[in-house]
Amino acid sequence: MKPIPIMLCGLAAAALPLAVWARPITYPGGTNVMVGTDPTMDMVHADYTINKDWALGWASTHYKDMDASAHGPQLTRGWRWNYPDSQANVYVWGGAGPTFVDDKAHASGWGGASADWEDRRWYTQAGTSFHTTANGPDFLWQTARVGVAPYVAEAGQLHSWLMLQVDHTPGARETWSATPMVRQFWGDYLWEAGVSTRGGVMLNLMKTF
Amino acid sequence: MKDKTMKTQTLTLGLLMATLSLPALAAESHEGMHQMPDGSWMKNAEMAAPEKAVNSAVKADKTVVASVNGLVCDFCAQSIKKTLMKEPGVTDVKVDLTAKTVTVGLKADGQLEEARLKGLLKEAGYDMIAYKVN
Repeated sequence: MKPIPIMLCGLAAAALPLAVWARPITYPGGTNVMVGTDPTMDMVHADYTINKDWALGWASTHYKDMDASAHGPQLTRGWRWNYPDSQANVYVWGGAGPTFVDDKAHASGWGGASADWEDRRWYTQAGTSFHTTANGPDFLWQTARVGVAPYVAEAGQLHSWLMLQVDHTPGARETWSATPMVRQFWGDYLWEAGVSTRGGVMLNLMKTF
Repeated sequence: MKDKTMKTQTLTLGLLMATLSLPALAAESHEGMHQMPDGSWMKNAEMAAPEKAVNSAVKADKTVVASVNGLVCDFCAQSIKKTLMKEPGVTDVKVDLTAKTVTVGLKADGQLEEARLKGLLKEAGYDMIAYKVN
């Protein structure tokens, strides 16, 4: 069996990207439910939008290889700047909860920040996040995304994006990775699919209620 | 085994790209439409009577139209619709990402004052910059 610190480091590496692709704040009273899967994990994340600035959520993640799971509430604060043809957002979040390994719970906490700018043709985003675990290592991770829409869609039509995500995970076996992906959304649904240079297919789905 | 995995991944990405190309091809079909200076497309009938076209698309006795900053995607449209449809007297909401407008349909006796609409849009995360009653 692998030592727990190494396993937890792996957990954090797998879990962190999902906090950034998600769009945690929607309209007041609305809820975003997000599910994601790749060869290493399955994830469910729900966020309730309290008002335009705050969302309260819950994240549950199961790690297939290690048969471990992490659960906990998460609070997100958002800021938005609206322009005639674009918008920019900054999100800051933090959460805490147990990480279960071999039926033993380890106290853990996490947080991060993300900024994005988009218009109807271009998308850019960058973020950083950390995960700290009692009796385990602190973990830091950074990501950046760029995207282009091959066509400009109107409200009610299928929106499509071609995106490239680059991840930097100090301490991981492969420090850098890139994931070309397709993002599409239509109505209340958003889904993403890509293939990472680390290997494996990534699929994410989000629905707003 | 690794080759098989790579083939599966390549096939998956290929299918996704094919899926992606369908709406792009559909978007290229503009029969009976006119291209605007900003590159967007409008039906010829709407070109002749744009206000009538907007009003006929909204289920309402009367409408108010707001120009809004920050409209970039369908999630924006959905957030605005769900926020405004909770308001008493509102019968329909249409978001036009190209014109950057939100058209709100009202009952005959319904009212949506400028300050109220601005507040509701702010609550949804967007900024109203102009207001017009039709």
